[in-house]
Amino acid sequence: MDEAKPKIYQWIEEENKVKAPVETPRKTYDERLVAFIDVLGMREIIRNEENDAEDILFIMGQLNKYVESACEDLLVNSRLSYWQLGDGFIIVTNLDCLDKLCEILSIVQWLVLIDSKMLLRGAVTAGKVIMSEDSKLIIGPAYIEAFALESDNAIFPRIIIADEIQQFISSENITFKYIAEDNDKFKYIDFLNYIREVEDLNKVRLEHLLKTQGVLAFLKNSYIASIKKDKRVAQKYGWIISKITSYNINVV
Amino acid sequence: MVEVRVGLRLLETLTSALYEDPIILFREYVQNSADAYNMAIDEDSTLAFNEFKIDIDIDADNFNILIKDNGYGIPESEFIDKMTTIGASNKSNFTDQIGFRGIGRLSGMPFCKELVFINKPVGLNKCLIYTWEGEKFHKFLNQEIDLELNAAVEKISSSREEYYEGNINEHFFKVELHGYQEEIKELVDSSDFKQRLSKMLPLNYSPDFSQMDVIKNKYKQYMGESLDKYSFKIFLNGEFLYKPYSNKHILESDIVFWELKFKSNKSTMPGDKFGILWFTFNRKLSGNPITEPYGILVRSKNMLMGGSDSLADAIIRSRVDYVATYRELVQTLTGVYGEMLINTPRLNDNARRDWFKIDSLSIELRNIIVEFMKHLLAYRNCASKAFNNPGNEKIREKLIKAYSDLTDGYKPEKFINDFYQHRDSVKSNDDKVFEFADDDIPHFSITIRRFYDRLAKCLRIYYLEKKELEEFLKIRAYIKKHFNEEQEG
Repeated sequence: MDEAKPKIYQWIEEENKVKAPVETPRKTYDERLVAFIDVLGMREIIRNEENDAEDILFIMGQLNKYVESACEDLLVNSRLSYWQLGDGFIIVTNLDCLDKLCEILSIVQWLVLIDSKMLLRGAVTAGKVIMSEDSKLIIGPAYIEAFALESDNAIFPRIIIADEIQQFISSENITFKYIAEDNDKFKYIDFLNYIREVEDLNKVRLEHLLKTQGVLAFLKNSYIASIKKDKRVAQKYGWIISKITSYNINVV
Repeated sequence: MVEVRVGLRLLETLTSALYEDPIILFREYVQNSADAYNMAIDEDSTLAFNEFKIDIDIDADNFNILIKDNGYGIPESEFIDKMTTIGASNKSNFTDQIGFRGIGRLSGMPFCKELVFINKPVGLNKCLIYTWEGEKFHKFLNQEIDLELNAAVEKISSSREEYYEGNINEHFFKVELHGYQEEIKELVDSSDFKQRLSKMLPLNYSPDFSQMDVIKNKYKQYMGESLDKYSFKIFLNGEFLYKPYSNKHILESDIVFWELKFKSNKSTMPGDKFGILWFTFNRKLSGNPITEPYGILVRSKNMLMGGSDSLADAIIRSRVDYVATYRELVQTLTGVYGEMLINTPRLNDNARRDWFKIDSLSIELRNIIVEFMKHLLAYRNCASKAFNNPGNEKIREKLIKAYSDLTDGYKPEKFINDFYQHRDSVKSNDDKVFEFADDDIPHFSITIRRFYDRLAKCLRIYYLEKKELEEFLKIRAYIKKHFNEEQEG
């Protein structure tokens, strides 16, 4: 019978098949690593209208450059996405990329310090997020958690690692050696130790680098200036100074 | 297991090969004092005190030398170990120090009858003394007694203690050379001994040198620490020593800086800054008297490496890049005053401390030197042409470019305009301008310069005809040296 059908019916059927709505699966939450980082004191700089907008844009451009260059490998393989949100960054990557994410964050923290004389703080967590196809939008509890963790607990220029990560990645799969525990029991990425070992910087070379790049003078002057104005700010500089001093490098 | 026998001759080889020129012993002992002080204040910054100084006293009548610092001395528990350590460092973080091999301590031994170290650390009521007998050392060598190094050290050195009658909290370290030999006598009696020490040791600039703050500020701004850490108060027979610069050494270009940085191949690491170069030169880059501290003096942690011609030496030593003949390089360097102030843990001194160990970084340094010398030579050549061809626009343009390359574009128009004005004022008196004499013997009278010039021109024509221009350059350099030595004398 089918054969008897005029050809036109076949064509109409085929056309209708093409036009029929494609059934797409519902967007569901994916489990991902989420990092949120921002520059300490950047909001104050932006709020202060006396600061040159060009300078602020330049700093933000620099930050983008650091993140982009550090993430290059994973970006190429589409295993990572990042968003710049004002003075902060959200970085989202697969659960099996924790080591690489920690390396990226160490490098960004180092470059921000050594090149731009600024301090980063942040948090890394794992959990559920939804990202739009074009990677322009991200939403989900993990994102909120990373943001909250950073705002409430990072305090010092450190990137803390949420304990929740272990619900998603077993600790034996975390091989990044440079996660340290702070006095308040928060775990954080020890970027100085990472850079020191990866770049083979002994005490003398690290000190020379920090000195000649103006980092020691920046920390010392910022600490002295802030201790008179705002002790909470001073303790942030004090924290990083204490970490550098632990390598027998004299800052103050 | 192979047993290695090390004899006394090794000590002789080490000390005499490394310390041929006896002036080096002053460098070694001053370095040790400076290092010990800086190590102490690095560990505890509250120990820093303004009165730290090093005294060099020469007793020419009795052939004795005393080098004394009022630093913290060596802790009692480490003293013997340090005194008997040869060619092995026990200093931690040694690359931050000026001297580090533990050989320098014996540099005085070949030149005296007795070398004595007297150590008085704070809180001790005695002086710790270690003596090396130079005379015995020579005797064993002359008699060709076959002694193993350890046995020899036991025979030629000894330690003792002496009760200290002064304040228990005083502290110092002394090196005494008793009965110094003819080489030292010749050195300390020479008229330029003080000048040589001033050039070599890690000193501060004289307060009479008005550009002192400009240089020190630039160094601090770029290197992130003060040059003062490596500038010491050193006295020669009670007379304060300064670096040999005064305002007469600031030439027409004023002070020009180059910032020195190693390249970085990694995006995570900035290029390592390792120092600054400052220099100054005249519009027409003519030679300065050789009695002045001409050339670029290369200093590592403010201590001299090599001599006035070390930039030329560094280029010639490499034999890779041809820049110019050695004579041309040296001649060009006599037209500038300046210093390359290097401080980096990544460059290591060679054994003789006259340059750096050959590695990729010292090669990078040499490449920077090559670039600098090329620019300096280019400017010198352009300036010479421009001086003789004032209306030539092409030459003027080349001169501006050469000047900009050399100074990183520091006010080129003004300098070049001044150049031509200056040139006109000099040219207005034609008989004052000589092709060769103005470069070679600029400080002689017009009559002598005219004679010198005619002689040089004749010789050049002669050797040009024979196609032996290299010979002409040799003879010209010889005559120039002869004239300048005569003037010095």
